[in-house]
Amino acid sequence: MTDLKSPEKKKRKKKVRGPYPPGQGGSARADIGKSEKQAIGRAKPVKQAAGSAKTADSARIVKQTAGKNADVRTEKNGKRSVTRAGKQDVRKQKQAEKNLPLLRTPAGLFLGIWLLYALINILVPDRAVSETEKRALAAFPEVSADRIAGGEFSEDFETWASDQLVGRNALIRIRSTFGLLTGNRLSRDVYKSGDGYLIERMTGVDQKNLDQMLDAVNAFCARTQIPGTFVCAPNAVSVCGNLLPASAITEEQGTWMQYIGNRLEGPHFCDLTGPLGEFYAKGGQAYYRSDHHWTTEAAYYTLPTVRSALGLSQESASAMTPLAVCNDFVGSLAAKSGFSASKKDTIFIYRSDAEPAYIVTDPAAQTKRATVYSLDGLKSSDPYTVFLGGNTGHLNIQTDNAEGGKLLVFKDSYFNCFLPFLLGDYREIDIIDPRYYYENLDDLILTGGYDRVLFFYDLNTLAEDTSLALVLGSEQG
Amino acid sequence: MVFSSITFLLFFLPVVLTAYYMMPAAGRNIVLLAASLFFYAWGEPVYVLLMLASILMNYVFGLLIEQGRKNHMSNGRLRMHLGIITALNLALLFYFKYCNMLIGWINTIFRAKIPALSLSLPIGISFYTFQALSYVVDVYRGKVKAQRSITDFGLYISMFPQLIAGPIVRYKSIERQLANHPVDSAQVRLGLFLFVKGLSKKVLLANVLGGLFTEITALPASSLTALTAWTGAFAYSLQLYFDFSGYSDMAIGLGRLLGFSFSENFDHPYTAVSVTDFWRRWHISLGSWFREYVYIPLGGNRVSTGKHIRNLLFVWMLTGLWHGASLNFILWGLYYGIWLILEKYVFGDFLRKHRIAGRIYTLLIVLLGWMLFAITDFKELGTYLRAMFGMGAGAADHRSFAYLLSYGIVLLAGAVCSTGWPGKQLGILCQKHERVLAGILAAAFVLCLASLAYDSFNPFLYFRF
Repeated sequence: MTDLKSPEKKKRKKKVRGPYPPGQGGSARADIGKSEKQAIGRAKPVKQAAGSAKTADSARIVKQTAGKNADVRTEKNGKRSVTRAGKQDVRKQKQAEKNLPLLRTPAGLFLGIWLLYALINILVPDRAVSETEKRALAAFPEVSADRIAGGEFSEDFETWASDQLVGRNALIRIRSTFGLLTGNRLSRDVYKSGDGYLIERMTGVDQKNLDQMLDAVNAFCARTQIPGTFVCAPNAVSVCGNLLPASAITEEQGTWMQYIGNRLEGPHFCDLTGPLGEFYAKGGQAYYRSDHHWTTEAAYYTLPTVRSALGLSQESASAMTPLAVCNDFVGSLAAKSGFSASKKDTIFIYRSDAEPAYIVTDPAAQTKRATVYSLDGLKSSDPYTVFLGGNTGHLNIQTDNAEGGKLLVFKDSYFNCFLPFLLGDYREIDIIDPRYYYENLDDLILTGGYDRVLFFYDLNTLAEDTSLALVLGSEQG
Repeated sequence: MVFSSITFLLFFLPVVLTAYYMMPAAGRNIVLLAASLFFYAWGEPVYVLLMLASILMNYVFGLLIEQGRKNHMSNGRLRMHLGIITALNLALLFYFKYCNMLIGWINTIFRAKIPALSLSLPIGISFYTFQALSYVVDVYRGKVKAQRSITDFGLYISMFPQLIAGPIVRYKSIERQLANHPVDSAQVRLGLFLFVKGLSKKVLLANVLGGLFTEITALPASSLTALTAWTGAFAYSLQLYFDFSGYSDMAIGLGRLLGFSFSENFDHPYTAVSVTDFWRRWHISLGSWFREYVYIPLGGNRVSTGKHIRNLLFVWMLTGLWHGASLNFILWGLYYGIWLILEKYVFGDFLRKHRIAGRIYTLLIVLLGWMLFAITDFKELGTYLRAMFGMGAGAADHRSFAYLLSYGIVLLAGAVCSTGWPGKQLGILCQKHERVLAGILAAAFVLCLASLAYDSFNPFLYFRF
């Protein structure tokens, strides 16, 4: 620090002559203000002057080095002499500043608020759940000698401290806004896009995983000899690509669609890119603005395509009418990215007069319902779970359509809002979500009589999924 | 514990500062020592014992050497004492930091299969070992008196502000402060400023740019265009500077808050006009440590040209090695050694006359040097360097411009902040209005907290039902 003192001295002299000449302030209070300013004047210029002084210093050194006996020691000597000259003045100034009450200075006030905030943080009780992030928050970590020695305690402590930070949601909002201001429209794989859309990008597909899954699908169809249909919906990132910011970097979904289509041998591949693009081009809202799911309207629009892929006649489809069930839907992408959802969405369900009677059974939980919709789901923090009440490993649906076939479905959540369109066509549907399915698939297949197996996925989920291959593979053993 | 964590900012520091300020001056060193040991133990619950051992042995040998001198011990025996403690210090450093590197080398060269030691590097060991060495050597040289108080000596080695990432404080510069370090209002305010400044450098600049560099290095060679590679190199250079100098600023600021003044560790290195100049401005405390304890004892530049070149290469090899235990760090050190020799003997005069050319040349050398520093795998390094010079995936693609759009402002802000200009402007502004300064401090602090919260922002990602 010694080498910094000379510039301080220069600054101080300037200041006394400059904006606040001695004796100008009348009252004692004005005097305090003056010395405050001097004091902080010291704080800042130290930094800025340090640079210039050193530049000058080093310039001199460079010159000296050019001379004969230049050595690194010259630098030290130079600095030392500068130091001595400045010392006395600085000492005097320090005396004046020492008596200044810290908390009456703005910087001191800042420190005070900081300490106060820390205190509040300790006093405010913990919250169990974050509605915004839709997850449980960390609780105070368990204390044990092992966990302390192993370092787990201190890691968990930090997680707890930041999860329970007072004003956490506001802080996260501040940070994502700041990111936007610096031009970064990406936050955790979600782009803040045009027309209030949050769009999730497609990142690094693990081709090995994908191949494994597709091979498992092929093998499954070959083994069981059940006619198969593989439906894959693209995501907003490709359908609404025009809304992405210019800075967006994402994988081409079209390329992967093609890849999947080529690799599938058993089941008939049905790529929904065409109909969805068409729907979007006509001005339809294909995806929710703040959620990664497609809208029920879009799903309904693709119905003819899917029906023909399933070998169902178009005539037997009954006309359905939309009914809005939620007008202020804010989805998971808002939670994931921290971006605010600037426009809320409406969730529709489709009803028809000719709805079949059916019973939904969850064999694992041993519950029966008479509807595929969930009012609890609608009221929950994720209203999309109005469809099927969210995710369940296995659901069995029996309808009163005795003429219909029997369908086996492997699906992700894109199927949840699509299912109602198919209810009238089948006598029985078994719906498997491989991510939550822990039973033995053999037992189910052995019940027999499946007329068709349907794989129904969106591309982003499909590309990251590892569970389907596992569930399908279980039959081999 | 790192400074840029909620634990430190909202738990450790507030508690320690409150306790410290409420304590009468006589008890403050105890408080600080206890806090420092706690600080270290938080991150290294086991290795804190190693640090205590290091404190104890250096303390004892300091006293032994001084006692020996008083009792007119022969020079040889004094030197032996110094040799023992130096060897002990270096042995610990070697065992924890370099053993596995050596085992790896032996295995490669002799096709041996010696299993690697399952050791993690104790945080800060390179820093506190060098501090301890400077102490015993200076005691031996009679430049300082041995410290009698184990508290004060323990504090010198373990003081939490500079414990983890420097600056390397020489005992000589802090000897008097250890006994007497009053805190006054001006110091606290300067300390606050420096701390928040450093925190902002680390959290708002370094972390963001680090994210960009990580993304770019993860790209396959087929996507790495020249523009992307250069963007990555700039991002990394700025990240490293803001990370390290931010940490030093925080350390110096914390020192001020506690009544200590440590010397500056960085002086706008990217404004240097030559590589020699760069190293006068980058990690100053390390450079001066090597100069004081290795370069000058070897004879410095007051020897024949041949020996001088040997000295330079040796010192720079060690400097490289200090930064990390792998071959690329040694090469990185030698790389600088060679440029310094060239500047000394070949084109130093040219650089002095052409300062703008000097700046560009320096930035280029440093930038390329950082790549050697950052990418430890030589094959990957080769790919990256080829991409930088257009032998990769072409000049630029959509991705390159997308990065510039997303990170351009931060890169630019980083470039501007790496010069002295913003500090100067802020100084002029705040000289007139301390309120403005406090406002900026508060805003920056909130933004840093927000970033830390955001980084830990961890929504339930398995959201696809």
